[in-house]
Amino acid sequence: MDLRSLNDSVIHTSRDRRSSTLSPEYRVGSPQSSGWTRSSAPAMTVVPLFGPDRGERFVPPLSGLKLARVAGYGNVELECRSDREDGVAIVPLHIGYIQDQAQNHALCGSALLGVGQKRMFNDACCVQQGQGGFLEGREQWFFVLPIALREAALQLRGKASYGKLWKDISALNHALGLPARGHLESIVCRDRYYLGQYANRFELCEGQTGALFFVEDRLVGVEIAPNARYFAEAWMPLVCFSYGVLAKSREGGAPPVRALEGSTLEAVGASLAQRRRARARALFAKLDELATLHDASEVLEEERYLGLRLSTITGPRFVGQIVEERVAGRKELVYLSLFATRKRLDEAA
Amino acid sequence: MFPVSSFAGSSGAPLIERVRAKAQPLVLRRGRSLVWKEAAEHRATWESDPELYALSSIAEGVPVEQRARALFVVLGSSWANLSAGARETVSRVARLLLAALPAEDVLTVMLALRRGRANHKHTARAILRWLTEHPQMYELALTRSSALRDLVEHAAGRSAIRSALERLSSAPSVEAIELPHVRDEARAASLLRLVFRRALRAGHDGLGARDRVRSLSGVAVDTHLRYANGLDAHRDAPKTVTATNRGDIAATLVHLARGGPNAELERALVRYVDAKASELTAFDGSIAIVLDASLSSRGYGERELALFSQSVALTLVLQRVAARVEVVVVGDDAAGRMFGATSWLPRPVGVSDLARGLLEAARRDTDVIAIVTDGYENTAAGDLADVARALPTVNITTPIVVCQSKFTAKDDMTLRRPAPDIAEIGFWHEDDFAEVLLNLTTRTHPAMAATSLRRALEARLTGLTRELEPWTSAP
Repeated sequence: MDLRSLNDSVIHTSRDRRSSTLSPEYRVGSPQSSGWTRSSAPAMTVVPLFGPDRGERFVPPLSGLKLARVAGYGNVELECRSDREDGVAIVPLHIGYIQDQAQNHALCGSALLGVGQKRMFNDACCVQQGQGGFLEGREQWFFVLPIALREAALQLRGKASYGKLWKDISALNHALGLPARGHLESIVCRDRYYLGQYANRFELCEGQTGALFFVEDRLVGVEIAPNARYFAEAWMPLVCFSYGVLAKSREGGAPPVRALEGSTLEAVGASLAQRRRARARALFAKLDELATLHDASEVLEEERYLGLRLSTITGPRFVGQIVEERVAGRKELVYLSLFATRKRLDEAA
Repeated sequence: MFPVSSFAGSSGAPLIERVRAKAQPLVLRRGRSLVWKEAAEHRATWESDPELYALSSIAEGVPVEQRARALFVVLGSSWANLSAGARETVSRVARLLLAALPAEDVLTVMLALRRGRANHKHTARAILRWLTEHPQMYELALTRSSALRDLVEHAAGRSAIRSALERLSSAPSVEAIELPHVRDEARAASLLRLVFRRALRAGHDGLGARDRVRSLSGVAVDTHLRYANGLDAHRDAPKTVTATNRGDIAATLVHLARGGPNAELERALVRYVDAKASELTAFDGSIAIVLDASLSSRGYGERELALFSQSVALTLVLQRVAARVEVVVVGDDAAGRMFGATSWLPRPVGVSDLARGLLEAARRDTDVIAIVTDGYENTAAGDLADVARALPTVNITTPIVVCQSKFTAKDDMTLRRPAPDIAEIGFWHEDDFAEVLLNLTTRTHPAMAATSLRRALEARLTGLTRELEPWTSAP
């Protein structure tokens, strides 16, 4: 297993490994930005991606994957439900569940489930060290772990110890000025009103199948789904909780006062368009940071389901998981969740 | 013509904002004339357009303290140069204020007029009729005897009061006294007996004044409350706000957006829009509306379609009310879906490029630009503010107002202010549309703004007078 399929499918890297561009299969939307840091830089920017539709058999994670039961701490059972006989669920990487009357958990790795299958994940992280206090209502909803926790969670996959993430959760709480406890709901529940607004501040586009995430104009994540419906259901957990928590920690500044040049209305419009194009170019140039992904990363196959292969990518700056499918002799990217390591995040801070 | 876009010498805020500014209660200090900080501006505004000045005091949301100031200026100024129509309007406004202001504030104003030696006929008439016609005249007379003595002497003249007291003293059975301007002679007599009870001495203890004082002790003079509540009627919000209980137009649009074509709903939509438009004052000018029809305006959960439907409702109503409306849709569905000849509904999809919307609206050469939005801007953050800042540099000075579509009046707007330097007004219910329209029209050029404001407030005065029927005939 290597990353050539990733490079071929999504990111084309130049021979000298110095630059990267997106594969022509992927269109990009206009960058969306919201919020300002204390140095008046954009807090978070999202670039929508529009890639190939890999088919409706890939069931969306909210409607197609059900939390069947929690059998004691650290043991979470999921079930794949679909009307399609060929339905298959790709469990979103680091999905977590908040629910009434039960301890909250997050999973350490992705997985592949066929329709009707149930699977018990014995290596789930309990994200609630003690009794919780912020649960509201009976509705069950899912989130994706804040990015600051994801590398640790990925490294801890397979380890059956439900409190394994508490130390990292405690450190994250402390970094955010909250009581240093292993309670993730201090963030995702208490700040839910603020974090939930990221789904309004960044708008999902019709047909969107993925996104590039930037915080303070540094690339911190690439998320790609098998189809638009899947991405639509994964969107809020990603933008609000996985990346939103990081963005919120960097916000708090005022917008810069920027002039738009021009002596006519048309000239002002042109000045705005030029500024936007320049910014988009600058953002896409950041993809060069993925150029060395191929050389420096380790790829480990985790699971197979028919023609699907789930693998873990471990690199110096980015880690994550990928699902590919061999179709007509070539590998196609089906799912990707690639995000910045702790080291990279700490460099950006 | 009165520059309704500002008080003379003020910061330039529209008149409607100025009259709604918070103010300290009027205080009449011993031995001094009444003073307050913006007194010169009030007088200048009155001099410039007395009718509009008076009308502005009965706009919704004007604090009691500002209304008291207006009453003082109106009653204390000469009406000699007012046209018959203006005099009639100013009188009606004064009557409403006299009924709606707390008695203590009215007394302060009247005592200040006395201190300033205001002796116009309408001043005297206002004082004497208000006192003799007040439904709680006894309470006032017994608890504020000293003030009322000063006022009747000032308004009627000392010699007239002296003659009246002599008559009352010499003929205890006299039940009616003629005083200048007063219609009810019997109440005039009662009033004088009460406030001059000491001067009228034994045998005539002011109709059992001591007993009355005791029995009325602690009774509040609150006649004004009904009128005050009528001036600023508080809308009862539903206990639980939903997407379909924020006005009939928005509710119907929610149902239309959720489902396909429905002839009954479409007919109802037209009726509801027409009905709401007929309640509002027609605007002779033009409005460019940047309608945020992006995905975020759709919302989700219990709020799904709530904000968007109200934004569209406002747009449809403004299209009926203004002489010309240009709509620029921000989002991916500019064409929308037509219902009948005049109603239309886009789908809320796409990104929030409010900056591009403003650039396009600026091209349409209208009298004012309304950006109707839920407030989330992402393409890109800060661009709207930058474009708004650039427009005057290319000689485009069209006033811009961000009209914030909210779920309830209490929405937290911290993250929903894309350009805080632009004027903003929020709305969540179709009952707010009148205020939005007023805010837009009073920011246009002075002549148009004055006409719009005058028209709106005259309609309000007529409605209030009919509905509330002030108890006093003063002034």
